[in-house]
Amino acid sequence: MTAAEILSTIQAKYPGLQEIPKVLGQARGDELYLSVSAAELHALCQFVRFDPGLSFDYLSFVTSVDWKTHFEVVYYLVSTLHKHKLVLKVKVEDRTNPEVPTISTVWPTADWQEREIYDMMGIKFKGHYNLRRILLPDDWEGFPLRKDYAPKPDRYD
Amino acid sequence: MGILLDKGPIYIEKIPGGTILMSTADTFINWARKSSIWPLTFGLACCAIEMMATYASKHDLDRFGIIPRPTPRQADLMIIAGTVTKKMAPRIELLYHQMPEPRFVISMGSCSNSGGPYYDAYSVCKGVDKVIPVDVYVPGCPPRPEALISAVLALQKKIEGYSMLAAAKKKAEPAAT
Repeated sequence: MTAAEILSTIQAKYPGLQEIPKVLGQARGDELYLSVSAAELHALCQFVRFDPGLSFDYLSFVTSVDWKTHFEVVYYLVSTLHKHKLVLKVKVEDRTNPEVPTISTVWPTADWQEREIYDMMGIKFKGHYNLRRILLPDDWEGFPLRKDYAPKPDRYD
Repeated sequence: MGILLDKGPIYIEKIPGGTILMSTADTFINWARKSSIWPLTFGLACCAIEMMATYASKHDLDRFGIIPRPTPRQADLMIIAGTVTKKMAPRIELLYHQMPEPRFVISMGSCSNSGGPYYDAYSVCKGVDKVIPVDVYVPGCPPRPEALISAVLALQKKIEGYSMLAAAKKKAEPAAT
């Protein structure tokens, strides 16, 4: 499917979804970028995973970006069956208690990646069965990949 | 390598059917100790690759009597080969304390010397000497196998200078006062 066909298929079910247009000169592929709200993320993921025409059976990666004013969680989906790609972006406005529903129930590979995002940026994934730190020590304070993170010197510094 | 080639108070007398060799206990013990430095098998980052190359046949640390041991209970030497993260530092401390005395530490590479390229990172210990005492520092990123061999030779030289009597005296002194 082309990007336009994927967009029309998804918009038939979710009419409110908006495409993020490519800015001239932006280093980015030709795949479709969609802006999704946290509330409808899980249902949309369920739809694009199991819809026979879309069949995004592979979650390439989950990552997060700190834009200082807000966070953004990015999902990169690939269909190994139809050889097409899709990018979902979820904007998280609340910096003090950022929360996004987990999609590890749709793609189990999201499990550890969501844990890493929680570890590094402190975004909570609602419904994740084992959301605790994965790389840093369990008693670490703060989330080091946030732009406003101030490291606290300890006995190893 | 041989005891005869090493400097030390050695007395040799030829007798019919053989040789009498006399030396001090320190010379003999230090010779034995420095000729069988058994390091703990563990590497932390890319320096470990150079360390493995040094163990392997081309550079062959075995000729110095260096055989990696899989348990700290049998190890004399700890080669800190790689980045010491704050998560790893307490584990290194534990392994160090599990080693029997006398124990030695070689800090291999910029990372374990001072944090190196990760000095500004939030998660890296600024030098393994914040956690355990270090005998020999090897500069480099990573150091070549020759540099590690030179560190081993420096450590052997350090071991040669040890005196059991002086160490016993030093241990007894604070108890006497």
